[in-house]
Amino acid sequence: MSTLRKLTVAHLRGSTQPFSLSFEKDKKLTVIYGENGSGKSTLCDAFDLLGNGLVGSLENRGLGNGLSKYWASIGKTPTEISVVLETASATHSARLGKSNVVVDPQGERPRVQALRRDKMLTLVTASPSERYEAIRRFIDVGGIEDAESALRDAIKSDEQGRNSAALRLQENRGEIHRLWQAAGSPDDDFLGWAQAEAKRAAGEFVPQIDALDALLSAYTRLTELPAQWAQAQQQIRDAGTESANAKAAFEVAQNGVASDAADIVSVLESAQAYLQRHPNPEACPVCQSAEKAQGLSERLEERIAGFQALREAGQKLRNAQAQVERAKQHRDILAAQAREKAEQFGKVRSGHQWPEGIDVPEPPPVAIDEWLAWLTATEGLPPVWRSALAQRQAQAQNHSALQGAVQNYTESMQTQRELDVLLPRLQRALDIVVEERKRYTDKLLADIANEVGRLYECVHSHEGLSKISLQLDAKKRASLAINTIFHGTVAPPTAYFSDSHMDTLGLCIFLANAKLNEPRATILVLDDVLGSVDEPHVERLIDLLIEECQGFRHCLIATHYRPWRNKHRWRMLRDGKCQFVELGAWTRDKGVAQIGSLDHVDQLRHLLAQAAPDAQLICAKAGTVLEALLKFIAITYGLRLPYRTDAQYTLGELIDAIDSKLRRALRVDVAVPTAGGTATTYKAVLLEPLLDELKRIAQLRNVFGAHFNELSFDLLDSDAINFGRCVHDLAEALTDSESGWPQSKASGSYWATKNDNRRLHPLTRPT
Amino acid sequence: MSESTATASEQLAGRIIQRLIDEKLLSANDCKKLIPKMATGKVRPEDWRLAVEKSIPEASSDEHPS
Repeated sequence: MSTLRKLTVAHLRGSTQPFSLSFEKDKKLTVIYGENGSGKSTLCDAFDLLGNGLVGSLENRGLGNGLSKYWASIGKTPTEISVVLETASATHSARLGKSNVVVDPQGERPRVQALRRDKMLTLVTASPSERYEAIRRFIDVGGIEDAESALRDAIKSDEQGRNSAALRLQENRGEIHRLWQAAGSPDDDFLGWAQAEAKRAAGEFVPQIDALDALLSAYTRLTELPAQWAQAQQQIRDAGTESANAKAAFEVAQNGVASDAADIVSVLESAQAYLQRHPNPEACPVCQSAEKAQGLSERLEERIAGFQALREAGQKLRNAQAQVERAKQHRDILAAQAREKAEQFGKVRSGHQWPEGIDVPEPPPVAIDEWLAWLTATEGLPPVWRSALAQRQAQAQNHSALQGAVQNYTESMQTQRELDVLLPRLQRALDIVVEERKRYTDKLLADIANEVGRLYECVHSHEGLSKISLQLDAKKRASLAINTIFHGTVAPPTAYFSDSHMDTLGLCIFLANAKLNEPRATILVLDDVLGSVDEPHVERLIDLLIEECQGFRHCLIATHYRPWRNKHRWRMLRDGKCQFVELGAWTRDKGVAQIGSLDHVDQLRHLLAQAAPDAQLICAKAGTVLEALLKFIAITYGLRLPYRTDAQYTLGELIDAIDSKLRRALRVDVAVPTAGGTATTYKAVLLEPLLDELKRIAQLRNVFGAHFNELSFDLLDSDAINFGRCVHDLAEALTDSESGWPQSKASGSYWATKNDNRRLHPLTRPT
Repeated sequence: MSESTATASEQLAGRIIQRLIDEKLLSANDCKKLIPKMATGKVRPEDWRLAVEKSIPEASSDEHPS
């Protein structure tokens, strides 16, 4: 990720005026120092707004919802808030929209993780679920847990399936055994028999069933014929008798009228029909005479009425004769049907190979009158046929049941076999999923806990409190417990740790979590986190922060911890890796203000570089710096000095403590800046000449810089300036503005600064 | 601790699938589909069953029921 270049904040919280903070190149740590109320948190809030869309310093202060109305500086509106972060590759800006924070470019918020003083304890004292939430992204394997659950369901379902298959297998086995018994237990191996039987075609029984069915139908149709035939014969006889009676009655009626009466009636009826069509003829239609044409129709009706009895007798005779004809026709039809049914029976008889025990007679004789005798002779056969039919139908049904049972048995057996192979594999898969999940989360938590412990040990070394453990609660989802070992007792840290220890632990948890989450892309913001850390541990905590922040994109630490400023001014802060920014007092008119923050050596150089140098100021500053330099040499080499409880020594005492052997041996190899990354070269600076000169003029400090002394009236300012220059040269030789003092003896032959650009010889005082 | 953009579920799904392949409980062909489903919790019981079934070596099953 690209490095930060400049942050500009306008009208957010304390920034009543636009404020810009430039970041020094190649320094990943920026320390913002300022007294309370100087605007440090405003700068932290600016990062929080840009990265997280909130102003964290206002959270949890009992202000309720709608905190955004307090985000703007006094007298400004939320829409006037502006935060712009320039990096080497992009510019990110944040402002307030109607209801949310609008970041440009959209969707490209820089990653910001902020920790504030009031949240440090929370990380330790949080509930297990809140703690889990903080690192959920790294340990939440909910997807795997769901997959695991699906696998359990599959196993459970298949176990049920396997049990069902076994049950069905038993049932099918019983059914086959029953059918085997029903079939007369034909074989010792009932299952083998069932297999063989089931392979027989299901249609084996159908032709016999169909044939017997057809035989019974054909026979039944024959049985209806004799009765129908007898009835038809009777109808013929009855119609013949009726016809003879009608004929006799007609002859009696005929004898009562003229012999040609019948012909006459016929002529009259024809004439009547003519007159109905031609009602008023002019002449008789028969004789053409017009004489009696009038009233002809009436006279015809009178004459016809005279022949009525004859007419009725004739009609009855005709009807009786027709009835005779119809009865004969019906008889002939029955005879034809009888022939057809007899033929059909013959066909059924000859169309099938009848098995033993099934007797089928010849078809009935041609003479229908003989059928009754034929039926009587064969009436014992249909019951035999029906019995044979029922037997075969039962056989067919049993065969079908057997086939079904064998098929179900085979399928159940196959299902059981498949599941017997599948289930152990599914179970093994589940074991692997569970094992891997536990291993993964246990290792992840152990890694986090170890990292927390490691960080904690860096600050509270050798206190035996670094055995931190994080455990997921197996009974609860999303629950993370934290424990430590306190003098052999496993307990939550809150049980035994002091507030200061818990603060440190909270910071370590925060750092460990932040390191999990794309640290190279993360800007870490630590607002006032040094507040409650007790004095002996602050230095180690500072060292820890300087080291750890190198793994992040950038780290901003806001603090009002004064020793940090003093360390900076005395070149004890590792400024090579750290940018120190000091804020002045905040005012409403000026807002947040950055003030100069030169270290003491730079201040001395600044005083010496003035056009009109102030001798008194130079001597005062140089004297203080010289004291620091000589004390450093005294401590480094264990020089002999009179014991005093206040450890206050004069410059003369400190210089004289450096014996002649050491003075001659003292040398600093100062790294000479090289171009193009070539190998470092060193310039040797002997300290003896500087120390000799300083011993000679050390009194100038008191005369000029420490007291009102009239002696100074007689001395030249150039002497004071010379004193200042000597001290400055000694300071520049011994210390480096970036890496501080040579305090490491890791080389084994000299003392070196962190970046090895100062090498102080000798390693030990010559004897 | 190393930095990674993959979620914990994704990382773990990869490990589990590899282990299942090593133990011949899954075929390598199925793992591509299964990893994202597993990581997002979208594997269904039938997915598991099918995947494990496909890994079973072919065997004769013409035996008579007994």
